[in-house]
Amino acid sequence: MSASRRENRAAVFLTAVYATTLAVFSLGRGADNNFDLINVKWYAGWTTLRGDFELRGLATSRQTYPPFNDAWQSLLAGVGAWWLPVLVWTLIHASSFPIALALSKRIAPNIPSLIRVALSALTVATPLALMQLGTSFGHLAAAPGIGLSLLLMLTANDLRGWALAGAALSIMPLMKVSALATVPALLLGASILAPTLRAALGYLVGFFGAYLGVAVGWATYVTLRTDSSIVSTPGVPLSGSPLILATLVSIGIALAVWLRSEEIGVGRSFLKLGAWAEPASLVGLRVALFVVAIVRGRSLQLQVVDARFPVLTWERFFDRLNHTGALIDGYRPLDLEVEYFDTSIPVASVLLLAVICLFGLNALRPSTRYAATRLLGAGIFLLGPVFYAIWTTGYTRYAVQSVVWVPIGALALVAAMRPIRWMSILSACVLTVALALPLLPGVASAVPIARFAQPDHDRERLQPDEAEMLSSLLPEGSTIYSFGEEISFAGAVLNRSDLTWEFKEPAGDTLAQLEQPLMTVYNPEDAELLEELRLNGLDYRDCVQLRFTASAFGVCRVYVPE
Amino acid sequence: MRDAASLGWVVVFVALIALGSFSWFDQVRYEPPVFGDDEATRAALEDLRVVPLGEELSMASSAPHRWIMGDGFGVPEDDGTWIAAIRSNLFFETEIAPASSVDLYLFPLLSAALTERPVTISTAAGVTEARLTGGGQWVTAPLPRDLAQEVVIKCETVDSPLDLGLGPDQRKLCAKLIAVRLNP
Repeated sequence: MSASRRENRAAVFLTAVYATTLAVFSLGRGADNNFDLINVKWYAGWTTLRGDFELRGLATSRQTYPPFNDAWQSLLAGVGAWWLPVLVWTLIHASSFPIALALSKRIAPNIPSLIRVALSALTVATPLALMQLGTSFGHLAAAPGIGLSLLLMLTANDLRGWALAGAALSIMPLMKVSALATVPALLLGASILAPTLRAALGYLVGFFGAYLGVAVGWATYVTLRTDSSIVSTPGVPLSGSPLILATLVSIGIALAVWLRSEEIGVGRSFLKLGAWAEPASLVGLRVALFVVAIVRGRSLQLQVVDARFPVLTWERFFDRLNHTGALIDGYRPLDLEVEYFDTSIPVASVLLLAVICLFGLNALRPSTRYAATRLLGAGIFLLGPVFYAIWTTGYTRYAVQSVVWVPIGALALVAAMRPIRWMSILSACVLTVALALPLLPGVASAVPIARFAQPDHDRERLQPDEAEMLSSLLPEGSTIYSFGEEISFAGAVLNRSDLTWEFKEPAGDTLAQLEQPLMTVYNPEDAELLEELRLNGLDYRDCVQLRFTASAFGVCRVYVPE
Repeated sequence: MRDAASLGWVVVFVALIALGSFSWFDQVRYEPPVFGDDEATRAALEDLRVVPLGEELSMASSAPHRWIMGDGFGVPEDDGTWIAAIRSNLFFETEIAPASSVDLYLFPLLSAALTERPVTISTAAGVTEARLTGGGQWVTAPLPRDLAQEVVIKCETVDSPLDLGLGPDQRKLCAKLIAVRLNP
């Protein structure tokens, strides 16, 4: 058996072991009841799957979002087995591991395989990743797009390969739209990795062609099916005709690149040695992308995406760079709602600083410039989005899809030290231990890795017999006015197409047109919100409260007073 | 090897689509009631609110008598249920003889800055005021001589553990109702 075949078999075996381990861990934590899923995403995905694009309530803002995450989650959850979405998401999340293995082999072939496997295994196994494992948040489903894009860049030897690498990056924002905010940093990193201007441009058109083609294509379809009049997609500062034109141009150029591919005369080694000179036009493109990243980042920062954790001063930004979740105040939730202990951000800070220093030392010599530039490109591509997300939004969670790749960023730095073998091995060991520290027994036992944003517990939220009881209180063809949190998912669980779920009371001038049966389903915690009905000319009676094992609902009959 | 891997991906993909399609084809079905035909469920709910006299009734998530909690309560937990609104109420019925009073075992949310929590318990027989000062505390309120009862609990405020500096929990809470006892 050839060495290559043995390595492939070993990779398949390791991936199977890794995925199984993560699946056992993930299933052991029970059903995914995260707040966003229970309140928004399950309902949004369910209505979308039914071909109803007039989303209501909190889900309204997701009307033109690419549907993959929500619809896939709802499709799986609709089977009725709590473990199915958890298992499938875990396997999707675990797919970063084989990509990391392949990347580690290409980036650092001289590092002992044990260290490469350990660092690859840490991709989805650091606490910041584990707290989302098996859930539908989307960051970990977006992460493989980044790794795959880098892998394709490192293996591309023609323009088509670079366009494909750009297209692979579009997986990231298509699975998690909020990750779109980190794209400027990724494009800058890719342009620095690109050896020629044509390669960099091929990457850009590949990304924009694929992302806009899918996202704007979907948004256009939704706009045509609803009352909306202007096509727009979240995170893209264009709308209407300019957006459609930009999309068509991007797709056209991407197709032209695909059909008229040409060789890029660069070897496949990650850090090729030898004299190399960059064209000034490529340097100009990188400077332009850098300026775009700064301007876009500043604009996002001023928008205050999450008012809880803004980073408005450099002091607070530098605080975050050595932030482990513990920082100086104990295990306080500095930028997440849950306590955690994770060394990824400080390690990434050290790595990026080292990468920039190495670039500064080696970029001026023609013989080392190529290696220094490639290392800088990989460093910014893998690590830059972490700091970019923290700088722009102050929220580490928005960077989790890139936090996954910090261990591979460590390998890239270690690979650059290969002329001094003992130093590269030692630094690889130190970085592995530093990243694995929160997982070592006894080290962080004070902070168990909690699932992110699970309001109460991990029991199945609404069991079949409970759903049947709730359903039996809702007459056929009812219009249901819902109030309070943790209600909308019930619409998806009941899966009844005869019901119309509304999340706000009807306008006063429409009361005469309302047809019975009218009902309200509310969270008993928020019963005072029922007064909204009375303030708008309706009234309610015959209320009952359902005290299920992991959820509660109030149900009343609604009527228009004489 | 490459062919085998491709085949594997195809099998996985098809299996996932097949599983997900259960939802698409409406695998979960319910018979929707016609308007006004939900009385059977409402009667069953009334049965769930019939409670015995003289026993300590747990308000935990697995306890059968948790159904007496009406509005204002959170989702039941392993040891009891948080009062999560300024106004909350209990509905219950005794089967044979009426109760003379109700005991509520409450565990208030307190902090160094908030050392006591006043609550008001109202029934048709009168209003009882109590100050919860920490730990578990029984509060007794009189009941009228009827089988069906409503008990209203009013808190002055609801606060989150986050606001009180006790932890990251952002839920607004008053006190946890651990148990209820009806006295003959």
